[in-house]
Formats: sequence, structure tokens, C-alpha cells
Amino acid sequence: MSALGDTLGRFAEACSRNQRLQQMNRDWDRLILVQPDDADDQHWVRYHEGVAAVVAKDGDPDLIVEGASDVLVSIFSGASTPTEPYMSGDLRVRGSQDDVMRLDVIALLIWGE
Amino acid sequence: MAGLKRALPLRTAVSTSAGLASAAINFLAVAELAGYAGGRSGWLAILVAGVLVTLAAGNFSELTALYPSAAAIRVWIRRGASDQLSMVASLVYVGTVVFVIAADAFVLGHVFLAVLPGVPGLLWIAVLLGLVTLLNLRGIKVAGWVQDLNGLFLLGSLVVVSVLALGHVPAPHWHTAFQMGPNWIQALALGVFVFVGFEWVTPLAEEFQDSRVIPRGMFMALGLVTVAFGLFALAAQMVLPAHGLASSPVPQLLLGRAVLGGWGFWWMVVVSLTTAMTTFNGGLATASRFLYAAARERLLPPALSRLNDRLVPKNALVALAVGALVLAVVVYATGVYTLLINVGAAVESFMYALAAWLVLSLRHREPHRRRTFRVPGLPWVTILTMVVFAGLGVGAATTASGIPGPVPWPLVFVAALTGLAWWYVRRIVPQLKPPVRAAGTPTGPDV
Repeated sequence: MSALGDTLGRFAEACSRNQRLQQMNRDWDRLILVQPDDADDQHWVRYHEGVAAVVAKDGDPDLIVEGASDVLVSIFSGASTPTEPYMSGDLRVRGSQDDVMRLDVIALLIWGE
Repeated sequence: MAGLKRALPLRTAVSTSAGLASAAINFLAVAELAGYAGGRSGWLAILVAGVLVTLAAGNFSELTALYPSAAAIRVWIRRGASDQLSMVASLVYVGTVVFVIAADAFVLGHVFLAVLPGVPGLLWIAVLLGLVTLLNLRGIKVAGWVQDLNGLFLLGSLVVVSVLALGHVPAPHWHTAFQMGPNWIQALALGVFVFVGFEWVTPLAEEFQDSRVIPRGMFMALGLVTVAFGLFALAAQMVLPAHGLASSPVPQLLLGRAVLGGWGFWWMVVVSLTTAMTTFNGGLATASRFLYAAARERLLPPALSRLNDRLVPKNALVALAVGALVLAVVVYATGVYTLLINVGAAVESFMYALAAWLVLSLRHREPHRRRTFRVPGLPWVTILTMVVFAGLGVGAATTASGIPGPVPWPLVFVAALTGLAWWYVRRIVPQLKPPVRAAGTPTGPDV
């Protein structure tokens, strides 16, 4: 599995272990596509009943997260906040603003500011 | 490329762009520019401003096609110029949202005063602004179809009332529709204000399946706003006495009454209320999310990124509402709403000039990056757009603001606001930046 795949696996585990996140996202059912723009690679994360898991493609995504592989690894590993690359245009997230915001809050709750 | 499961339709791009541009304070902006236009050619100033703003829309279209992001100008200026300029411009830009909310509150207060003279207008402003803030804090959102209908209701109402009014204008009056006075350029500069906010649809770019929907939506919205407010300007100047138009804080109610009597009056009351409430709601929701994002990157104090249990940035929302209320009280007490109109027109014109420059800069800096929309006529039309809007910005900033004396207060206000933002970015922001953290160290903070 790629570095990004490993990172996303650990990210999903961290999300699922966090009780506050489980409670917050118990009704948040979303399919997230993480897509590096410098590699022919796609990763899918499903959030369902407060539990996150890396899954195979299962329909159209609710959210699409795009950026260079190292940027995505950095964000999902907690090495950097998503805010900085997002504000510089190096990270792009497509989907409803509420979902984008929730994703930011998830990162905030796991990794801090 | 994968497509989103849920995406916004074109009609939402149109209604959002038109709705954000159509603030209740636009009625007063029309009355102010009519005074400068000479004759009854205010409509012509709006038409020409609409054409010029369409050129600016082309630049925003290319920028959003290049970087479709909710952070919009924050990203574009950072890529095309510098991080510091991006921060300063973003802070000034979000300030104009507060001005527009305060200006709409002024109109709202006077609409209520016309309906219920016994109740102070300030009380209504506080109650309605508080109500919208509370609804936002509770996470209650206006459904998309309600926003779409509201935009159509406002613009459709203006067209119908104006056409009915113009049907009664005697033939000898029509030649005055083309008489232009010596201050017509000032009227044109203020005409830009009628379109303020049309580009605030660009932060929604991430929610559309195809970022080309945003340009289409903006162009269609500008056409609708130009027609609706152009007709309103023409009808108001043809039907209402010049003094009545210039001195009333509610010219739309006067036109409604003149055309359809009591029904017309109440119709325009409803239009004013829905428009002002939409401005409150849209302005607070959009600006509070911007403040949240700015606080997350430590451009603003971290307290502004605190969320409530409904994931609403509570502190940012309350700070904006309080700021708008304080400004609304000052404007209501002093009556200098023209200062806000002129400042808003100036800031937006400078922003449109900056957008033109960013298009040129990014074509040079990132020539190979994919763009789903390319503005035609580069570089000469883009340079012309930049020069024209810089000139209109100066024109709006030096137009009389209702405060006696020779001082160009709008220019002073814009300069002070920009200077304050620049000082803040240079002195305060570096102290807010967090230390670099190590990877993989969950901290579990409070939200």
C-alpha cells in the first residue's frame, strides 16, 4: 500500500477511536475520495455511524480532497493543519461547505491546532 | 474524474450572485447616483456600470476557474501577489460585508419607521439582527429554494413596479432620460455599488460539479441586476420629484405608493424586509466562516475559531453581529449612510482592479495551470479594466459623503481601514502564529 494509503488507514483508526468524534459524527454518513494530483491513485474513506474506514469505491463521493501526495500525507498524518495548504491553494476540497468544515473539525479534534 | 454525489445547480449560482448584489441599501445608492447623473440618466450610469462590472466578472471567473476555493481572494492574492497583501485585502474585504449589513439595517429601520412610526427604528434593527444571529447560532439555514425564490421575488418586483410606473410617464419627459450632468462620472462610480457582492458567489465554487457554472451564474445575475435596478432608477427619476428621491431613506416605498397606492407601498415593504433579512443572513453566514478560517490559520485570534455543538463559529458570528449593530447604530443616529455607500463602492472598485491585476500576474506566474475559463481580450482589456476600476475607486472615495466640509471622508475611511489592516498583519499576526508541531501527536483540544 502507498504511503498515503497507510496514512489514511491510521487516520481512520484515530477517528474511530475518538469518542467525541464518534458522538459528533454518528449521523454523518459520507464517502470521501482522497485523490493525489501527482499520482494515478485514488483512496476512499467512508464515515458511517461515527466510524471511519478505508473502503473500496462505492458510488460517487460526497467530498473530494485533492493535492500533491506529500501535502495529503502531511495533513492526514497530522504533521500540518489543513488550513495552511488550503489557504495557499495547494489543497483543494470539493463538496458542501458544511462537510468541508466538518472535515476540518475532525482534523482539529484529532491533531489539535 | 469523479463527480460529486450532491452539487448545486446553475440557478443557485444565479440567485446567489444576484441575491448578494441586491441589498436594500441599493435603493439609496440609486437615489444618490441619480442626484449626480443629471437629468434622469441614472439608469444609464447603472447600465454602463453593469457593463464594466461584467468585465470584472470575467476576471473573477478566470480566478475561480484557476483556484475554485471557499477561501477565494485569500488564495488568489496569495498566489498572484503576496501573503501579506492577501491578508490585508481579505480583512478589508470582509469589513465591507459588515458595512453592507449595517447599511441594510439603516434601510430596514426606516422601512419600519414608515410602517409603525411609534416604534423606534433602532429597536427593530436590534431585534431582527439578533433574530438572524440566533437562527445562525442554532444552525438553522435558509433552504436553497427559498433563496432562489427570494432573489427572483426582489428582481421581478422591481421590474414589474418600474414598468407599471413608466407606463404612466408622459412622452415629453422621455428625452430627459439621456441628459447627462457634469458629475455623471461620479454617478458611474456609485453605480458600481449596485453590484457589490455579486462575486461573493465564488466561495461556493467547491459545491458545484463544474466550476464553469460560476461564470455563467455571475454573468446572468449581472444582467438581471442591471435590468431590474436600471428600470428602478429610470422609474424613480421619472415618477418621483427629484427632492423627494434625494431626501427619502425609503425611495422604494415612495415609488410603490406612487404606482399602486397602498398595495404598492406594502409590496415594497415586503421586498425591503426580505432583501435586508437575506443580506443579514448571507452576510453573517459567509463572513463568519471566513473569520473561522482566518482564525484557524492564526490570521485572527484563535477564539474566533471556536465552534458550538452545531459546528457554527459562535464567537465569529457574535463578533460580526455586534460589529454590524454598533455600526448600524452610529449610521442610524448620524444619518451618514452615504459614507458607507461610497466606501463600499470604492473598496469594491479597488478589488475589481486588483482582480484584473491578479489575472495578469497568474497568467505570467502559472501559465500552464489548467483554467476552465479564460477571460478574453488579455492583456489590453484586462489592463483597461484595471485602470478604469482604479479610477472609479478614486472617484467613489472622493465623492461627497454627506459630512459637511472639504475632507473626502470615504477616502480617509478606506485609507485608515487599509492602514489598520496592514499594521495588524505586520505587528499582530506574527504573534498569533503557532509553533510547528511534530507529526502523529494527537492532542484532542476543545473546540
